[in-house]
Amino acid sequence: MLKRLKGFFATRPGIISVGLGIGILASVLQKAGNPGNMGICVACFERDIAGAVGLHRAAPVQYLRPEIIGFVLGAMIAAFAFKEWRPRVGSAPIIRFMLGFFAMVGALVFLGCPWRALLRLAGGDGNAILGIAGLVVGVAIGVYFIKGGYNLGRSRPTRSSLGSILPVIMFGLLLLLIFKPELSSGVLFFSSEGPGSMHANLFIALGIALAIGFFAQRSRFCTMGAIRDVILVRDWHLLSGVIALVVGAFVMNAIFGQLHWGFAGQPVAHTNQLLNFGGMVLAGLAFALAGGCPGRQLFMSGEGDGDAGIFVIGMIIGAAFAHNFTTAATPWPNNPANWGWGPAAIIVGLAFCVILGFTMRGKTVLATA
Amino acid sequence: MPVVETRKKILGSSPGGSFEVLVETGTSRDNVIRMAHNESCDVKVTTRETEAEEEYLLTITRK
Repeated sequence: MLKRLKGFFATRPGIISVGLGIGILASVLQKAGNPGNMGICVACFERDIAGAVGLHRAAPVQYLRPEIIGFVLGAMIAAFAFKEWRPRVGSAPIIRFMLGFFAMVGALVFLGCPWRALLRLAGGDGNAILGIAGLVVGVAIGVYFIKGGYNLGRSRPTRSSLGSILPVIMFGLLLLLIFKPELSSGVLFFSSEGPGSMHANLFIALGIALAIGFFAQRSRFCTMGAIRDVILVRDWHLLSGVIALVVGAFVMNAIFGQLHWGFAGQPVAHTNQLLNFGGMVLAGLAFALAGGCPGRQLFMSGEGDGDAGIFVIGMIIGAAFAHNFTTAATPWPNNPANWGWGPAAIIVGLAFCVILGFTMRGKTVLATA
Repeated sequence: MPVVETRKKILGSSPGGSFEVLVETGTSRDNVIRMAHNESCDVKVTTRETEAEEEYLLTITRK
């Protein structure tokens, strides 16, 4: 039985079921209280966590999102249940931190990770088309580097105590969320208005996220990998799951009345298409160079991958910088005065990624990393 | 990436040709198997126990 179940998720029907399930549950989470077209957004929710613990001061986006916690812990449960708990570290951790950092910077210029880009599309937000186009271009640049021999070197097996650091951090965040301690510093910060104030019931969100984490770990669901595999080896396996996600969310949005076509006035979105595109080029490239979308990085962290854990921490710190240094988009960036440092941050991030792409190559990297 | 390296090897081999690939994770194993099947190859999987963890020896034969 376990073996059959194990095999099912590696099949086409398996990945499509998982994608469909994620799409449906994301729409349900929105219905249950999460922000518009943001039933799930790994980037936004990690940003909210950064705000909740006081790493940035953007008052509307602060909440300890149980979805992130559930993704990691759900994946960890699956990894243990199916004997895929593989503690490992040592594949260029500081680079992974910076890739997480710049992936977040790019995602917050667009206002969403690849998961939310798909959910925005499934909710009728036309701006998502430019974001997804940017994502494809970013991943394609990454594929160019991978074909040229780019790699971050192999990781090494390690102790379980090391592999469990990110899951334990997530468990700690869960305790903070449940007990909400009051400290003289003012933490925890929970938004009283804006997207951060909109959230589903803690236990509903946690339950759904645990389920998604579990099944995504089994199926290796990855939005970046979906695009990469099609470009690199013409493999449509993961992409069929991603398309199923959009279909599932679209149908449920139609049923729930959450479908609103158009470009202007979309929830937590803007209509500056250059920034929508450019932000996701950077994010897509950073995800491709790190070997996984932000969701997949959480699931790999749950398998004991300490390097993926470093990427996640890089994203959380990146979110703090993005808001503190005004690189994150506001809903009104069409006036250049409202751009902040977003365009400059995209250029710096792209330069970083391109330099990595050209320099982290060949067997020398493999031998020394 | 194991998939990229293996695919290069498959494309450079002739029908009936066979070679072995050693991968360390279940994800790499699944990715290589899927790609090899897409490239019309047979794959035989042997799971090996090492001191630290499992690894997978994939014998790939081009049809």
